[in-house]
Amino acid sequence: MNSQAWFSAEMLGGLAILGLLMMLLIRVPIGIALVTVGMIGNIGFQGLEPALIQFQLVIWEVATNFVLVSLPLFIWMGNLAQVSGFGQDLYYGFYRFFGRMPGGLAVTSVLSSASFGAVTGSSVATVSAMGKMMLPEMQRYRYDMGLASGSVASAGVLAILIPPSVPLVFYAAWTETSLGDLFIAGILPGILLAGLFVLSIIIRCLLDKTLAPAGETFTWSERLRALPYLLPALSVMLIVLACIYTGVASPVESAAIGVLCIFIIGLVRRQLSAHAIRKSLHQSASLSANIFVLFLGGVFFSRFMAQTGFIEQQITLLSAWSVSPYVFLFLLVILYLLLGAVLDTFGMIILTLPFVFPLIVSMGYDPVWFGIFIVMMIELSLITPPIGINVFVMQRVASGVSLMTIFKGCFPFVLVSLFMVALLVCFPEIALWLPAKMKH
Amino acid sequence: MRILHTGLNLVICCFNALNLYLILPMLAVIILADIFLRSVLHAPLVWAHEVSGLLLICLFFLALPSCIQKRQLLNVDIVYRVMSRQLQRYVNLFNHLLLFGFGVLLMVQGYLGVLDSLAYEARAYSINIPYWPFYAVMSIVGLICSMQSVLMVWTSFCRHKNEAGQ
Repeated sequence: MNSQAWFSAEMLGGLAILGLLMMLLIRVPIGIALVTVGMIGNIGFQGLEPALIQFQLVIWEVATNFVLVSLPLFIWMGNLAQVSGFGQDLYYGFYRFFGRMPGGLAVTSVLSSASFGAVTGSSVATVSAMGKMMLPEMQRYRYDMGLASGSVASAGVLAILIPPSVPLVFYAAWTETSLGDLFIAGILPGILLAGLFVLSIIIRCLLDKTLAPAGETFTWSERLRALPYLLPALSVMLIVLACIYTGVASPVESAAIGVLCIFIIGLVRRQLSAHAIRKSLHQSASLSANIFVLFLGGVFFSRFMAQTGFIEQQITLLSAWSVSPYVFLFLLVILYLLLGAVLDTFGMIILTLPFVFPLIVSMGYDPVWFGIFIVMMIELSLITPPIGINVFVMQRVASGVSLMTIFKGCFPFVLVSLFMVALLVCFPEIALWLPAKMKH
Repeated sequence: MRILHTGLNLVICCFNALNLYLILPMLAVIILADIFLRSVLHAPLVWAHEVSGLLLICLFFLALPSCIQKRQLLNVDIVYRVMSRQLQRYVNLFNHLLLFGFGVLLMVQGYLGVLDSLAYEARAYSINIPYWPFYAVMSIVGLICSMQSVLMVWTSFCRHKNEAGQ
């Protein structure tokens, strides 16, 4: 007997969500849980054969999705940048310009992390690489450890906002939003957030001089001599963005250009060993497969949810309640902060998008804007307890600094990020202005 | 079981080598060649996108067994961590069974895909590459995944037996 006789379609959708949550709680891998629930639901809803056909179609569709081609390439690019010594160069260059400012080393760490993150696109890689360099220096200058570790851990989040960003690739492939628009949309909020981080550090250090003693002073000739150190990372970032902006290459193709640039720079500087290249390839293949399973499960599950009519029901309910868009966004902020406590970046995107994205679109929000919003919310989850992956990476790098100190150190940056989210909500042009200019 | 373990390790190593030395570099080279030919010689590789997509299938599937072996698939372990050891064992068993099911699903779908592609002579539009080898990769990886899950169940069973013996 068909299950439709027993359950209404919407009820089946509700049961599927409940089943999914149960599976997630008992540590079933997120992708496998999504496939399982999607398959059971589809069998219940349409029967075995259509469910199997649906699954085969979804596999082929996901695995050959051209946008996802950029995923392994951007991850590879980031891994290559990590082993090519870009981080040290950025630190050397920026420190000569900003070291003398109040909290100069912390400012340097924010700017270096933002630039390094723009090449790697990985928050964890950024915190790990920059933390190893910056923390001993800040300890040497007797910086407050909360400020020191908090600034590095928090600056790492800029990596996933400033393009190229792996979560944005994931979002683009899922929602079929233009990846180029998303990348370009991330530039201004990323720069603005980096600027706000720097400003908050300077203000705090001016108010409490014990937080960060003054650093070294450098002459202008020393600063100018340090400029070439900034060139490799910044040029890769600019080349990738310029290719996208001018249309020479699509965002997907720009990933390959980024890989080539870093490869050439690494080989010229003799910083790429065969072992390093092999490791970077291995990591990118592994992470890509991991994301693929998530994506596959997510697409399959959301197709099932769409069939049940559960999402439409939620949209109708929301319209009937006439919830203000601002209230809805506020609820979303709360939801993502809570989810960030138990899920990682991709888990958060894949588990919420099937429900949240149609609602957001039905409210008239721009999908590009929402992509930036969701990435900013994910950023927050990286530095808030209890999971806060960046904080844990920071603790591994900074032996002797407690988790609590790092979380406390991140707190002012969390407030700054929330302020940035509020700015983004009030002034969507922050994200949408550049993509609109690009289209002109 | 030791033979199965060694055999699986060998296969996973081969898959990794294929990905590392062939597929991922080839993906980058094809895309770069397309950009160069299109921008400089105004003669794009018309098959570049389609072949990239097909390479992506291989990349994803060939890296999957390694991910499973290293238990890298993303999960939420906040509740699992506070469970008793016995409950954790049951949960692990359940997870391995689901993984087995997933592997079987891939295997069957891949096999059906091979049959369909052969029957309808399905191939890429822009270049003469048949689809069936890619479905075959899916099917083989499904088989490997299900064997991995059987091995995991066996390993945890042996560990439990050892602990009970001690």
